[in-house]
Amino acid sequence: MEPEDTQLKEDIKTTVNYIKQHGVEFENKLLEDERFSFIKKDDPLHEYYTKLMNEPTDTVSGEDNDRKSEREIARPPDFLFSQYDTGISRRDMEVIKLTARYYAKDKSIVEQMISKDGEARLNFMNSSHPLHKTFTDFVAQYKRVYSFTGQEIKKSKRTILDNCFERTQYWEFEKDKDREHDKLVELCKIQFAAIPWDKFTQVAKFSIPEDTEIFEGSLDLEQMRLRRVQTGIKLFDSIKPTNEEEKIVSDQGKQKGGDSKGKKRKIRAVGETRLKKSKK
Amino acid sequence: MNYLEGVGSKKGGGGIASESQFNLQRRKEVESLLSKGENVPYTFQDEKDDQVRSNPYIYKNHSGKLVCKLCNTMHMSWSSVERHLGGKKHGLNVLRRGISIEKSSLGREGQTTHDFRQQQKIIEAKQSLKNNGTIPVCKIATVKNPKNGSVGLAIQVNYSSEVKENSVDSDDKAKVPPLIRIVSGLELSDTKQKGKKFLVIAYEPFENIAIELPPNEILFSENNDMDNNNDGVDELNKKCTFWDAISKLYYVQFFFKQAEQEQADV
Repeated sequence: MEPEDTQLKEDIKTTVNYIKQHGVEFENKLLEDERFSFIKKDDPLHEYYTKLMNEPTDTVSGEDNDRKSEREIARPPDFLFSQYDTGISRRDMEVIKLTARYYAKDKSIVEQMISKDGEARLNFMNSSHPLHKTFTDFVAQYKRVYSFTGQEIKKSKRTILDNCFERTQYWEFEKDKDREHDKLVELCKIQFAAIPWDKFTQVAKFSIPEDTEIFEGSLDLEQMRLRRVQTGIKLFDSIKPTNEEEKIVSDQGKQKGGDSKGKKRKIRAVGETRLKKSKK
Repeated sequence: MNYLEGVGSKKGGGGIASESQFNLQRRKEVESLLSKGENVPYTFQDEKDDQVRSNPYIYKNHSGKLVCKLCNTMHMSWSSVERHLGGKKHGLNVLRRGISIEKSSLGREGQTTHDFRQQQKIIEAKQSLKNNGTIPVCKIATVKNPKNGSVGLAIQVNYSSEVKENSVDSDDKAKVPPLIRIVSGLELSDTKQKGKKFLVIAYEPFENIAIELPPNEILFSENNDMDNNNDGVDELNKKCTFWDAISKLYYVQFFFKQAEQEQADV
């Protein structure tokens, strides 16, 4: 019933958790990949997969979920009014603030100005400008101020304290995360220094072929890093692994060696060949 | 007048020394006696390293007066110097100098200790390295960059076999991803490999794999500069690799400069 392979077991568990989070529709995407063959009904592991899917929440998985929820604390919302760039000169800051104020009041006025004059000063309104985010933040602030109707904000002391506590908890969590990350980086550096780089087995030799048009599209490493479950990389499917060819070659070598060793040699008496030749 | 038989009457004689000259000579003799015959060098003079002086801070300046370099004081005679050497100011300055020397040496020791600990960790890691001799399955593809048009190399290494032994590893080491490095033939002991270049992929407990590379220069993709989240041991490991920890697949990709095309263009 259960697979003997520990890695495969973990893979199935991970996939089950993922599908529970994102819905059953995701199964169709996974079917394309060979690694997720257990989703098919014909596969022998499908029963185990179905069993895991039907169980609502195991105690172990429940604990895992609790730990995960503890480990990943949601980031509290940023402060709206007090966070913005301080590296901008005073005059530029005034320009941005004033434009944001008019923009929050009425969009069309500012847009007309831009379309007519095309001033270089107001380039920060383009989304590609580095100061665009600052401008957007100020617009949000002014909108909020304009939309305020004079109501009293009713927050109990308990609520305020809870918010402060959550924020502090998140900061502590971030510190721990950074510490673990630094530990891992340090460990990688030590491992890199410890590996004997001069001892290796040469697997293949790569040379650039002359025909440029045959090549396939390159991998997108950024996209691969972003996605957590890959929808199959088709680049390597048609390519045979290099080691298998070498294994075959080595097998042939072994066979040849065996043959040479197994041959029985005929031991001739001293002078036999010479005597034969002299007779002729 | 009669000059015969008088003092200084002989032609060519120097005459009797005057009183001021007598005073000057007497003062010099007294100073040499007080300083016990020590040679005091001038400040602009190159000092001989062999000499070990009883008063290393005392010099003569360009006008012949005595100077204490440590305290930046000037003295007219050796008796004044002796009074200064035994005084409070000089003593305090000597103490301060000793303290500052100690501080600088402590700093160096701290750095040395840190390096030593780092070396210790590396040695421990070397001793605990495991190698079961298994060669992982490796696939290689020739690849073309759609943006630049440059030709490159894409590698996929499958580390999913031998899972049982991995469970024995400690949790910390299991998190370390595979590492790559480009090894020049000059680093190897074999003479035949001198002109070659190898890409070595290392992942504990597997055997190190090497792929021989062409002599072209390697390009790093420029788009990844914006990606600050990913970090690794060095630039090559940062930008050109991806480690899928769940499925145990490792991807390496980089591109080469087109030397032939450049020549053709020129």
